[in-house]
Amino acid sequence: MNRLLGRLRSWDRGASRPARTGEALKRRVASAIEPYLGRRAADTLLHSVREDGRDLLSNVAPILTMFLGRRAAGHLVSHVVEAAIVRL
Amino acid sequence: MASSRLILLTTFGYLPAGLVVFAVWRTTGNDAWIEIFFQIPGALLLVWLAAVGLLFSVRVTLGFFPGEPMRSAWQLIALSAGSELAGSILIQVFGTKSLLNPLTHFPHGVEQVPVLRTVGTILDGPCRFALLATALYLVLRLYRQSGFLGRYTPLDWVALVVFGGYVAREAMDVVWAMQRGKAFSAAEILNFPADPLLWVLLAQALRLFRSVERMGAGWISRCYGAFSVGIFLILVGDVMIWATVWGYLPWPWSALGWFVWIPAAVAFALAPLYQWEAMRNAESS
Repeated sequence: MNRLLGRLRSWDRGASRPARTGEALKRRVASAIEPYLGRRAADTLLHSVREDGRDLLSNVAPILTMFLGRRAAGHLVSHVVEAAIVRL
Repeated sequence: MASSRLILLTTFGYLPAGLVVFAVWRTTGNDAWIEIFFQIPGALLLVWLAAVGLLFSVRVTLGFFPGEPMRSAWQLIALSAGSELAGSILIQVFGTKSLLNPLTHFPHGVEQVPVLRTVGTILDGPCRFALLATALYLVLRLYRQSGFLGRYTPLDWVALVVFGGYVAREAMDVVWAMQRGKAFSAAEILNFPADPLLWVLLAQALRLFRSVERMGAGWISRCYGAFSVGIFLILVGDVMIWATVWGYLPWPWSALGWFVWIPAAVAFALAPLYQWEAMRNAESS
């Protein structure tokens, strides 16, 4: 968790890189949640996310939690943050 | 993934075998072909599928923490699957005079067969449907909260009106039979709610199907889509039973209706399996 938080902080400091924001970010997150929720649901959820992506998790996590449960959704959200956001 | 593939492969192997047996039966005229097919491999498959449905419904229920809204829905789905399994065992094993039934090997055992079959029909009918309808009500309420609740199309309204007409017609048949002096047994009366409950399930299945379409293909959609398909198939089987009982579907064509129950059972086994696979995959991501 500390490692993830550390990487999130460093991501936050450099969050203005094009790949970390806007459509590129939404596409990566969409591809991670699509297998679970479906393409249309993923598009709908990400459509309302702001360009800088700051409200991304607050839009996506509640729906994943609703359908998959807190335990499974928690793992998936961590994976999405790690793979689609922080690693870049 | 492997579990759902195993179920699909088993079914895809079984259904063509069933059609071959049906063809041989019609060609030779020997009823033993179709009777043995449904009394042994068919019965075992139905019980196995019901057991798979219960096992994965319980696993899914345990995957949600207490207090989570989906947990209540899945608890009811698990109870419904338990009712289906108990009903399947009573109907397919203890409620049939077949080689599978241990009661046939005991003195007076065969006398218990009709009673056990009746209890099985109630468990696999009204009890199971009532539990499932309550569960799907909770699921649809969550779909509404999520903003992905689908809307009925004109075709859905037609289906609801047509099946509503069928339920009304069936009720009228019962009333006319009572007026002509037919006395219904307690078991028959306990089964009266089955078709009105199926109408409620149809309304829910159509709403779920439209919601699934709205979300697009994914594990969650496969799960609730499978429930919808299972309910549609039960309706088809139910209408075929009604048509057979009231003489609208003559023998031997009525036997084709027996084939509907296996894909229906497959759909109800796959639904919790897809949900469990989704949760397991998310946890291992």
